Amino acid sequence: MVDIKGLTIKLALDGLRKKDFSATELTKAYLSVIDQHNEDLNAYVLVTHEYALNQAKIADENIAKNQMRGLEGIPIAVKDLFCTKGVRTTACSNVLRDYVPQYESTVTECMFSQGGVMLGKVNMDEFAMGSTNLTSCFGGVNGPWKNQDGEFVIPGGSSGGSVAAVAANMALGALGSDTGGSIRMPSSFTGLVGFKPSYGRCSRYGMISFASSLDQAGVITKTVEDSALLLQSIMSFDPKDATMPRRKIPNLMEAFTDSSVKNMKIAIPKEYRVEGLPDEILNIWEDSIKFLRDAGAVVEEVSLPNTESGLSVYYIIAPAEASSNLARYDGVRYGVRVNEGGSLDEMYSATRASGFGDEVKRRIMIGTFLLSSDQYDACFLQAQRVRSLIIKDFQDVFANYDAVITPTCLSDAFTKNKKFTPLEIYMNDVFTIPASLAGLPCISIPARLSKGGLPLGMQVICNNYEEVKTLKIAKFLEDNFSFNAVAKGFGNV
Amino acid sequence: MSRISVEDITKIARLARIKLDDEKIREYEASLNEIFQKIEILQKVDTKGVLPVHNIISDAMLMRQDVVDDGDIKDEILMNSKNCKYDYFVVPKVVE
Repeated sequence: MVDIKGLTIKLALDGLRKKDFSATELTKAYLSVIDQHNEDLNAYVLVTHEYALNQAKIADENIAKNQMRGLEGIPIAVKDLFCTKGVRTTACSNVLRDYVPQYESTVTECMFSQGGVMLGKVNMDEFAMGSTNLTSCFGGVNGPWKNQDGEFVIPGGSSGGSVAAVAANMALGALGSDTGGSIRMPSSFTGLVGFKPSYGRCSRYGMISFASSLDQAGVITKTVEDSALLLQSIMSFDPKDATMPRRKIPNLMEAFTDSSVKNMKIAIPKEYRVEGLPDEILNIWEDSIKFLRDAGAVVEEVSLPNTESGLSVYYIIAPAEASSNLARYDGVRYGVRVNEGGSLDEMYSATRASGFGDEVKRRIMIGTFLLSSDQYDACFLQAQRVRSLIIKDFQDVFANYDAVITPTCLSDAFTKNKKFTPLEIYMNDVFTIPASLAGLPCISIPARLSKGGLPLGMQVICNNYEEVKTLKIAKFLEDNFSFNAVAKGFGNV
Repeated sequence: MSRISVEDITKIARLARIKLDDEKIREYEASLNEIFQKIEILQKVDTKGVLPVHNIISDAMLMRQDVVDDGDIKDEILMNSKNCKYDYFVVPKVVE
């Protein structure tokens, strides 16, 4: 059996190249942890044993011929909103509970073409709406981190299954999606690296839509270098997505050729020093500043004056786009159908009432209201104007600075029993939303454990299309923090 | 934005084609009002002369030729429908 403890994508690629183990052995090792522990963790909502072993077999053939591709034989978990041809894809919603796509998302197609092996589809908040993973129609994810009282804490969301799978050694990396923080926030909660590239770097074709102007695919891994390897495999230029930039796709590994941050200019936005930010989070922020200064970077305080409006802008634009995107679930062409005997309207209303969960309904309702003729100008257009201001704030800073550095979250992870109002849950995303509104590349890296023994993350945000610079600064912070804690239990036993 | 009422929620639910019972209507009335109160701060932001965002990437949207490249998959497409007959999706009768 392959020893998967401490394994990374980079080490696994080396091991496969040197024939220390085969792709089939590696895949079987991960499937075995999944079979043993997934019932308790609930990270995977579908395990694709046969699919994975077939892909691993092809990988072994390529390795034997010395024709290794970028991600050859690497076992990956796929968030259940990437359509996978012939493999059930649900967005963790009852409305799509038995949906089998007849086409492949560009992101998974790219990953497969680089030799990646899909272990299965992983849990998420329904339609990626949430930051707890508790809105999934398959139930929440339990762990893998525990607090001091020995209770499981939630992995965050919406990519909760993605982070849980990687943190519990049930995959070497995972594909996720980030609309307002759904990769970075759960990565911060689980001690992982979560990287959302610039809007448009990865095709949205075949990625089940939530809010089209914000949705972006990204990756979750154990190290910054792994995030570069995995992200490289899913970036593409795809004519099927009309909102992709005509930019050259960078070689992300260039980020690691030179580790110096000397003379780089780093911005610390004062508006992120919000009231009530715990000392332990201020401390990792101060330490990051110290590491950078000691290495010769120039770190200065800046202002992003419209930061406070970010959350409100997001909770207008995202539900508005969602209410429009989710109009397609009418019970006719796919998904559940309820009330066959009634009128067409009654069938629509009953189907949508039964198929969508409470949070998805709430956001559809918010969006429907905000797009109504009475509210459109005052709310929706005003939000899009303020979004322009938020983008300009970042542009002004990036005219003089290489990166913005902030904590990823306001707190460490909490248990699923902690009660919040919907608005309090929305507040979780306050540090991750502004970069999403501006479509910027941003990454969360693990820094330290909190007093409660749970991971805390730092966020690096760079200007559009500067993924290489984002990775370089993230790698610098990763090296300096040297975070090496792992969740106890499950695959780490 | 004035406070939205139970009648407003009922109207929104009808527009969104989501059937809600009275309990849910009251629940959404409370949570939507809390959220709308929060997002109201945007009204105070001075946006005179600021254009709304309509495309997040600066490049112009891409055009492509409208060619079929994945045709001939009728059975796969119909497979996901709960009710189809003679290669059509079946819905309740709409014309009396």
